[in-house]
Amino acid sequence: MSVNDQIDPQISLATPGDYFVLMKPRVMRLVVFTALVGMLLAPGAIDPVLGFIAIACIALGAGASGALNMWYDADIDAIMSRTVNRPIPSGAIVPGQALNFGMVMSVISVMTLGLLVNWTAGALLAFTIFFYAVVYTMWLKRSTPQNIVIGGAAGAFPPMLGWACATGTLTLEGLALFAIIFIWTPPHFWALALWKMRDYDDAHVPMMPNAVGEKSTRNQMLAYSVLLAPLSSVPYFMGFSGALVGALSGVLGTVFLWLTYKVWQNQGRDEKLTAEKRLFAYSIFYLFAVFALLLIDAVTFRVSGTYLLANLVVM
Amino acid sequence: MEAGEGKVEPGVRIELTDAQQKARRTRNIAIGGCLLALVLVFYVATVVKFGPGLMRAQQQQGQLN
Repeated sequence: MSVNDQIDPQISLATPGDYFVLMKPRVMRLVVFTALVGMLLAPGAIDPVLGFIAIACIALGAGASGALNMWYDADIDAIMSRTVNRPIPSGAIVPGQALNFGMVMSVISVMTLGLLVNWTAGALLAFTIFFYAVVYTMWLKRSTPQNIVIGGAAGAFPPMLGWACATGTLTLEGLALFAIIFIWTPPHFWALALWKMRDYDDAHVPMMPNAVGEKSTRNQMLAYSVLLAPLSSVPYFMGFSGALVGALSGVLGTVFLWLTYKVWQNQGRDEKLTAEKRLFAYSIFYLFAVFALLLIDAVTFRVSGTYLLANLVVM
Repeated sequence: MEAGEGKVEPGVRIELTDAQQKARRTRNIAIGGCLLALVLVFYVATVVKFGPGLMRAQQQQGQLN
């Protein structure tokens, strides 16, 4: 006897592809990239096989925290147009399956990184997953407009993680890479929030523009961008990148500041929010470009023993 | 609805549709592939981490003999 008609919704039609989407592949891509840069910038050699395993574990850990985030946020994801097609609100995966998947992946990624690479990196990965899934998703996101400021730390840990994989320690250089992403996060997210404000309002998520106001948000975005512009060149000043990369990163940071200034200057007078959309698009390019430059410098150093234009003194 | 919430009388046989069977098969293959990958990762990492030390120890023993 068949009872399919009664129980259809409980029998999963989820495919491996749905689980892959649950891991937020776009975020994972950025995590892999920044972690790789951190690993290659760090002093000392790391076995290529162990390096590959480390990056895979970090990617898996990021995916696990993404799955836990989607499990907890399924109710608000169903309200917002940007997230309504995610696997849980679309019905592809039931919440319990997402929770199990996230938990199992978290344990596997942390244990594998700890056992095969080192436990400093393993512990930091565990803390990153905890920070994103519990501190940001469960606590901060729905309770304070500072949610993405503090929660942004979760997205800023990967280069530190990469550094920790190579050296087994947490250092100031890793912290500098952390700081770039940490300070970059608020203007990046608030540029998006300014034009998706309605969505966040409907979902009762207290993002800065709808909780505190657009004017205050724009002021704060400008303040973070003022910090970010010089911070972009900090790797050069700390001696782990060359002058060329330091100068180009400085230019990228200055353009970021200029675009944020346009957002601040317009104060939303342009109904199409062109400046906000432009800043959001540029912010993604900025982070990719700064870390790509650092990657080029790291590879150059490992191949030739010196950075691109190691210093500003011309012989 | 959460998985496992629906009530099915004891002894009732659930027949999966083709789509459900196909989805389950692809999930099983993916889980199998992941487990195999994990075994390979631990095998390769063990060789990489302990291999050089074992080779050195063997060489030293050979020299002593």
